[in-house]
Amino acid sequence: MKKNSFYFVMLLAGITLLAATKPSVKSPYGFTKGNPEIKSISALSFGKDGILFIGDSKGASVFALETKDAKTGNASAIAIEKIDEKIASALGTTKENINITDMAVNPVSKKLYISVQFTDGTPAILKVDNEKIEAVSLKEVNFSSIALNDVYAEDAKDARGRPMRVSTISDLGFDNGKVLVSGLSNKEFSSTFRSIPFPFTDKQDQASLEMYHASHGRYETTSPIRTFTTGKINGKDYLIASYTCTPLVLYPLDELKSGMHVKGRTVAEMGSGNTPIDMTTITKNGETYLIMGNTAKPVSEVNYKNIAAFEGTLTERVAGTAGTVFVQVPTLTKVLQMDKLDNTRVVIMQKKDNGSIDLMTANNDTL
Amino acid sequence: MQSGLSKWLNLLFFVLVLTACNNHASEIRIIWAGEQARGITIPEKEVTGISKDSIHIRLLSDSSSSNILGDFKNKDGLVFEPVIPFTRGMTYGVYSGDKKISSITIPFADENDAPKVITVYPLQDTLPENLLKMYIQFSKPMKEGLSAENVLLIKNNKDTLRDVFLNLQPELWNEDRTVLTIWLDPGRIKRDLQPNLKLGNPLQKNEKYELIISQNWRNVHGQKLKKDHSKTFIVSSRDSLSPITEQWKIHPPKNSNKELLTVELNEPLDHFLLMECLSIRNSKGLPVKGKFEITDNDMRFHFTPTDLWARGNYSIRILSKLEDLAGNNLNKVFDRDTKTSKQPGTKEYYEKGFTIQ
Repeated sequence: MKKNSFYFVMLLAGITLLAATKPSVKSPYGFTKGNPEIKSISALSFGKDGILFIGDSKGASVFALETKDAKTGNASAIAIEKIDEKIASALGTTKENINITDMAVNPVSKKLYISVQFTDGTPAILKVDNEKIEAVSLKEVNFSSIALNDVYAEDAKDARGRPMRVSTISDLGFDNGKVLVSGLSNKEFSSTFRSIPFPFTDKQDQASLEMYHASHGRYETTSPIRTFTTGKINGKDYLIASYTCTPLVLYPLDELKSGMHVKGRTVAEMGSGNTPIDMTTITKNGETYLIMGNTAKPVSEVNYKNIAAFEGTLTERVAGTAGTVFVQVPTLTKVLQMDKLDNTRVVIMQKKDNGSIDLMTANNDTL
Repeated sequence: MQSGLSKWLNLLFFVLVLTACNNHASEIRIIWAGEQARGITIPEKEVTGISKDSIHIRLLSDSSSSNILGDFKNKDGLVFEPVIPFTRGMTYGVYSGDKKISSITIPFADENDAPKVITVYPLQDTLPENLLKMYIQFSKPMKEGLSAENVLLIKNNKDTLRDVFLNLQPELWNEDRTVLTIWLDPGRIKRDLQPNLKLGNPLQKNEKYELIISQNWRNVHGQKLKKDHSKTFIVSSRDSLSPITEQWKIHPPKNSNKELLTVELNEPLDHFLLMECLSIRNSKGLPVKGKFEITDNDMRFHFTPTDLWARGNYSIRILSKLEDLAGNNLNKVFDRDTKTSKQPGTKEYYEKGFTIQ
């Protein structure tokens, strides 16, 4: 009896403690302080002021996290061999038990952030600072989140009341005050693309996209976007997207609004049997280049000037490659992750022939 | 932002920690949250006289291991919570500087809890040549990223087929990681795409296939499946037509009690889409509460209302995204020929009426 009373008192103490730690602090971005309930991390991308956007596929949400890492830093080259083993060791396990799901460079501090998923699904975010691996706390932090709109039928739930639909977030970006999210559902083989104003409100736009796959002569293709970036071409803002089998497609950003069905303009076919992993841009001799990391092909680069000059769209079936001219960097194959370090360099996570997963920095001389 | 459930789980965790700490045991103890080893408690006597700042935890089996990232707290001893749970079967050392003070091994999960495959959808043993996807349902949450090496397709008992399934990262798991969706490579199914021209359709008509799910697939705690799982099937013709709801046969309830509504489909449809694309509406178009059950290898469904049926007109509303096994939905076929196929439908849903006398 005495013991029971003890537990009861402790239970009350627990409730009081929880009540006391309820999110309360407001911030200009609409953040509250607390523990974000992040179920998985599929994609990372930075906004302004060190705000990290986290794409949570399992939770069908996007989180915005204040990293407090907003002090301007120097972009020093990153080179770490066997990064997967080092991360596993810092997490108290071995490399077989973790998946590296994405990485992003904080454009302000130039620190590299890497998301990892443990074998039981527990997600973690790590920060790489001069070869030192640190944990990014997901407890008692300033954050906000938005659930991705999805239409469920009345009875689209299993016996335990959970929706049966599964979506994954394939890429995430931030442009001009909006979080951009590309995704894939487990049910229909098609793309969803969302544009969500930040700070988060109730508003989000979801457009359906269609492109002409020029390695596919006659039949319609609605495939999921694998990776994207945004850029100005001939003075107009575009979503620049790529898909498995590597077509490069432009969509005018101002047309990507709810309920719109937007047909993209295919400006290049960059080879079948390949999945593009990440896209970014660098500057070389005063010109902007699109840099794309791939699973099966080497890193490809396309001069924006050539994209701008290619005014048509590929509509005839092609074998191999076609459209805008691009070049490949033969040494940079099997890219697992890639992000921009600064205007002239990208950080690449690459699987070497000996199986080692290494982080390296490529500058515009090699690219 | 915290959900009610998670608050209570936190509270439960808090109570469990207290319970553990109240035990006055003299050894390092594991703090469990469900099946996760979420932390350890190092008894005060183990660290008496040692600067707390010098204490850290390392993985013992790894000679080059670094200090594990996590948080220390003082709670009836020194509590360490790593960023991710401790790994089953691994041994961890408690160090003061470079000196090992103590160690603890996280036990393997109970062998009796080994996972197994419950079923593979589609349930049929004859499948169309342009089958688009399969679902594997497991008894326990599984480790992600292992499907490529553990799902094999064997043709006519001899050839192991390569590049049949789409290698998606991340894989399409449901939230608790018990159902995986796998796609047969759409690039090989859609006629005229490069992969289709180079490698051909993944499945061929009149051939026999065996899908093998390897025992080596591990669950989230590192346990292998109890045994291999196998599903054999024969391949029939290509299905190039959208499901035709006009051909569904409705058996309406005979009177206004809680009798079953039964609908026979004209072909097997996607199991999980069926679960989410159907609703029953009353004469005002409002949803009728009740429960759906899918039977007869996804060729039939039943609906039992929560309340009694009323006399009058009802309808079955079917969202147009409902697909057959080849990914053809009510509005359009998966592999649409832009020159010869009819224009895709644009309806959000289709309806079929029935009357309760």
